[in-house]
Amino acid sequence: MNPNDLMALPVPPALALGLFGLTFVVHMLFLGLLVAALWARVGAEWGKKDLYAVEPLHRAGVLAFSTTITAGVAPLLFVQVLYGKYFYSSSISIGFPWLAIVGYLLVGFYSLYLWRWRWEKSGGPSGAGKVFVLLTILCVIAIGFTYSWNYLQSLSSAPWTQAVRHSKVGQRLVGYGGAAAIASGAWVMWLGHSWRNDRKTPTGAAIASIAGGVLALGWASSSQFAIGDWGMAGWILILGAGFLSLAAGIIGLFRRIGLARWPAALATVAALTGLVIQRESYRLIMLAGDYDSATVAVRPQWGAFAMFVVVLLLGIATLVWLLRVVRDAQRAMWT
Amino acid sequence: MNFPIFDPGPMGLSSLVAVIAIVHVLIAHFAVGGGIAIPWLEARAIRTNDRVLGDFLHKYSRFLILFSFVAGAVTGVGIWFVIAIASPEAITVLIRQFVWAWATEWVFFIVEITSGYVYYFYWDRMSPKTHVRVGIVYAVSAWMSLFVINGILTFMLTPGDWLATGSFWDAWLNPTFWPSLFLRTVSALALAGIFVAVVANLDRSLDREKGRHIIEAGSVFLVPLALMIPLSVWYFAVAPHKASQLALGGAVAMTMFFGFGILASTLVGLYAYFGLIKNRRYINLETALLLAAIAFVATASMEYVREGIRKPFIIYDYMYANGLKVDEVDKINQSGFFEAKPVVAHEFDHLAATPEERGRVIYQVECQRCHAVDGYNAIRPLIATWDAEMIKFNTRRLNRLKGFMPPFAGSESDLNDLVAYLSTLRTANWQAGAAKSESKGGGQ
Ligand code: HEC
Repeated sequence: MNPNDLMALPVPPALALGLFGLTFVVHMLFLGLLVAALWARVGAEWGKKDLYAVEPLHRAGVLAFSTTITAGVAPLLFVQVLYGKYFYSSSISIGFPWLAIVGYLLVGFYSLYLWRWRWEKSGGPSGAGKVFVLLTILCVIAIGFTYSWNYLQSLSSAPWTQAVRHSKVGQRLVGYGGAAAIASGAWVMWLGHSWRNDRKTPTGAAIASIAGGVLALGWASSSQFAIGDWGMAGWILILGAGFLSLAAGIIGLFRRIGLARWPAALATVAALTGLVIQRESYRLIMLAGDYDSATVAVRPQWGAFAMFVVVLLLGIATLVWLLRVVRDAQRAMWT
Repeated sequence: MNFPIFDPGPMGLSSLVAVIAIVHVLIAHFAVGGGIAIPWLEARAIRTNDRVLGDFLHKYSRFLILFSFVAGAVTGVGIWFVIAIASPEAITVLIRQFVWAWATEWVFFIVEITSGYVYYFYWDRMSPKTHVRVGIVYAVSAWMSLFVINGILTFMLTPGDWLATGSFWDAWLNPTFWPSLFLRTVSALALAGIFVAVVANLDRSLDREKGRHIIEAGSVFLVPLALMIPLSVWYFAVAPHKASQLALGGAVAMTMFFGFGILASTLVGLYAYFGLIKNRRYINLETALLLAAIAFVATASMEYVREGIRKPFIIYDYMYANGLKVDEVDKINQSGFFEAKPVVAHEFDHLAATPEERGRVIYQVECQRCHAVDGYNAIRPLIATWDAEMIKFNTRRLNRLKGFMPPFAGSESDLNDLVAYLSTLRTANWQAGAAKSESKGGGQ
């Protein structure tokens, strides 16, 4: 047995990188849904009734949190496959603050549940309700902060010698916050559009969120790094997202939310893809010399990969079936 | 592979891992067992037109979702984080061998969560037949995620042919895969059955007769516990001989935990059959909670035993608990610890350092995973009465001194360094001085 073989990557790096990017975008999409749900709750507690009007957003809160976590597991998996050495070293050198994520997750998640329970009990805003909303928001920010910290910390061949300034982490966080804001705006539009009882949906807020998000994301990523070949592609995508959100804004001016949601959705996908590309190009620039995906040993496990693909296809088919079941159930409720 | 070292202080790394792991296993098993029990019972309730049972299941599934979806997902992430910090070398091997298994598990997990929510939130909003079908999707995906992860857990105890072939399938479908899968399934079902009794007692809308009816329905899931003994015999028959010996008398604590786990499980299983089903006994809240506590302790004991009997390895016959690979040890013995540059990754100038400082690094790499200085399995009291000669004598034959310790890896001068450091622990003066120069991640 050749021990080097056992340490070889079980997947060609390009494939792992592709899957990482794809699942990371999905993760950020759900994070956007969570942010949208939090918006709605802030609106409900502090009186902006038009955001509260989107009832599906409230229902989505708990669901969005668990789907965000679940969707986040996959990129976490591929990041370890690709950059395990750096990722573990940075996690270790962060230590307890890194482990604290578990606590943030628990508190944030239960606060979401508790908010809903409190809202139903008191039938409207309450002091405790406000506290629960704030707790969840703080936990989400803390989680984002810690992840950004770990990402920046891991961008070195010897992460434990690198001390990352918190202001830098904050800047990074603004970028993710921007990405989540963009996605949240798109969710508000889609959910608002399909929501039947009240056609008056918060187009303006959704578009402001998308435009602001594009700005934040663009600023955070462009101010941070030198543009390489790939970084450029990411930058173009984020710029494109800016134009798309402008288009959505103009369409939105005429209150045509059904139409505006399309450029909004495109803007979201473009911006998130741009974010991922920039993030990974930045990493590769920083790790150049120590890590080169062209030279790492690879021993692909195609059999196991095939198992994954088959299960994935079955899983998607099952999810489609479940969504249809839900759609039928909802139809039955409304008729 | 070079990693910095995480110093968790007195809590110790292995106890940190153990706490989160046990909580997670309990919740995850409950999620699987509950996922099977609920649609099963619902189908029965529909067939027999049993409204009481049907309404109860709605409440019970809320409990399952609140409990398992939140805490299960979060502790799952948590255990991952902690292990990555405690044993990055082992995780590196695991992730490279099993990334597709984990990716597969992830798909099941997504289906599990989605179907679970649909099942709960759309209760009574679809035809009973469709609803049971959604429940079955939930049950199958929950159990399949256990199926997948089970192969990774058992791999660490019995890597089997993988040691020679390096093949994914040999690693995943390893010798203890099947007995462990059945053991886990049995305990998952039992947890679900016990929680039926707990929730039925907490539900104020049920009178005693209805409560008895529901508890009886749930107790079916306790009966398989009677299989615990034959399944364990099977498990230990295929486990490494040395590991089985640890559980069956070799290590007192392990044997006691194991004995308790097996005995308690079997008794609860027999009681369920003869007491609850045959004689229609009622379980009140206190008894239900007591049963739940027994189930908790039994499950935790079994996990403790599973982790314990693997020592001194983290991946049997391949990697020791301190992250040194078996074939690495010879190399380190020959070339010396610092020349071989195992796991430790600090910028550490060993030539300029004192023997005590060098010894401390060796201790951090080779011993700290299992021994805090003070606190969990503390080293200080263990050597308190020994002089330097004695420490040296025993450290040289560490793996024979206690079979669950890896051998000391290093040259004669490394051994002297380690002994020099350990000797300072008895006086504790040097330690106080060194603590100042220490930084997070083990000093630079
Ligand atoms: C796999 C985990 C593990 C590792 C690694 C480990 N030990 Fe231990 N060691 C134990 C356990 C468990 C005990 C038993 C403690 C007890 O009996 O209270 C023990 C006991 C001891 C004892 C007391 C033995 C006796 O007979 O009283 C000494 C001394 C000791 N270890 C030193 C070391 C040193 C030095 C290292 C590093 C070179 C080390 N250990 C590495 C798990 C470990």
